[in-house]
Amino acid sequence: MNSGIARRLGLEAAAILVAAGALGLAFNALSPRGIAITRPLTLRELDARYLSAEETRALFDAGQTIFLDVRRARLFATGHIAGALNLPAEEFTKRFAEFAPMLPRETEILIYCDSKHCELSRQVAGQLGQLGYRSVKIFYHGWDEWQQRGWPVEK
Amino acid sequence: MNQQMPTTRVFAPTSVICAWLLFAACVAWAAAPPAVPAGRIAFDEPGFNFGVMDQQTEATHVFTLRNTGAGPLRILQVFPGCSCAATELDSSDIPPGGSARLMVTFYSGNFNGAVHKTMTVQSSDPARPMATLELRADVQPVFIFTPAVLDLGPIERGQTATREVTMSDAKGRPFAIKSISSSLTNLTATAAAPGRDGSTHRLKVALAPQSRTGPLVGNVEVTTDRKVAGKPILLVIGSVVGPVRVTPTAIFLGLVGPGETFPPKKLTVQNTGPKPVEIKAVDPGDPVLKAMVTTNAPGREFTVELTTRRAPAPGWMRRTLHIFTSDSDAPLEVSLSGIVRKNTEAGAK
Repeated sequence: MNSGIARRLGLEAAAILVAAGALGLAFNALSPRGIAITRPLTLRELDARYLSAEETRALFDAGQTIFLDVRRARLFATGHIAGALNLPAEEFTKRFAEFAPMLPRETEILIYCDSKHCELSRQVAGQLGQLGYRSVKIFYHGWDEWQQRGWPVEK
Repeated sequence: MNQQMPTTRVFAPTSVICAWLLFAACVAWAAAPPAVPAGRIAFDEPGFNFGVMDQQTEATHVFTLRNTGAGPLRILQVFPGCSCAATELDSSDIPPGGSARLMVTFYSGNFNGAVHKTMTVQSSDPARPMATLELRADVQPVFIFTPAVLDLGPIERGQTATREVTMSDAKGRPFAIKSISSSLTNLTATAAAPGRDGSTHRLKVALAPQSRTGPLVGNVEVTTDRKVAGKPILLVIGSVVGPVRVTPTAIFLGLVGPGETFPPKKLTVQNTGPKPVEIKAVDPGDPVLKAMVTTNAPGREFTVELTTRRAPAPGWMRRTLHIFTSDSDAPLEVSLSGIVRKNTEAGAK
């Protein structure tokens, strides 16, 4: 009889623990201040071509990478990373021939756009890939981040 | 009496504390500045879906911004969220109960598929200083080329090259080709008879014999009977090669600061032909640059080292290096490009 009661108590305790854990996980998931249980994806896991701001700055300082700004010309004129080329994404097919002599296939090309919300960088990176370019990177946070950090710009 | 004393002793300090707190609250309330009525931003709709759009087109939508607060509302800035959207606001200052129109133009460009952008409106609303609007669209290509890029590959000097490309309507609708033009001389494209339903056309792209060796990059533009903002364009790449070849055919000299020189670069000239070849001269294309030739294997392989004599002027540098050999009257060409920044200051303009 004692063993029966002990077993029942054990089952009840286990059930309470499981229910409490489930309730806690549910609350954590719904709460705006919940704790991340799974690790967020790194930039590389999002896209192997993505570079952080620090990595982008390192390429800029090394001076062997071509920086390609794919925003519209009007936005480029208001400010861009110092030394960047401007090839608007929507004009890529029409104007690539004009830029080809300045874009050697063996040279690393770093593409950037407004911010991480801009998909134009990935679009142009894909087009360069179709043209045989194998060393293409994307500055994930783009112009907004570069400008906020006060790094070299031109107008 | 003894039972009442502890209560009395506790009551006295507590009442003093409460009195002071009440006094402090009254002083704070009297000293507080009068509340300024604030503007409150509100949108008639949280976003807009432009629906299915063709590439290279634009569409416009007008949002209505309202001030539902008791005070004036100022719109400080509108962030489109991408260079694919442009905005125009008819009034930055909205009185209580008033409204303003925010016109948004979305450019589909070369997007392909579902597009989702978030615009941000910064205002003087203290409760909602950065309010967002969502933009969505489903952008479809009008025409599709197969292959997407025509790579002619290496073509021997003096030889022709012909390739076939398919051009089709993305939605299977019939269309007619009115004309085809090419940006490269000696590159022509003609349309063969369309497929059965008229939604697919075969294009024959031909390159006439070339006497100059080097990379080929151009495009073929097709005019159809459709009214589209941008004509469908096919990129064409390749290279004309001879027995004497230079590698690479384009060099990025580097991105340097003002007063700095570019690091040295090397090219290799190789002769795969039966006769030995000599390099007669190398013209680097700019007096700032200097080219020095070293023979690795006489008549067969040479190295050209490119150095900078002095710091180039700030800005983009684009030159063509010419290598004159005994193989042909037409020199080998190498495109050179480099950038000298205009200043070294961080954040400088």
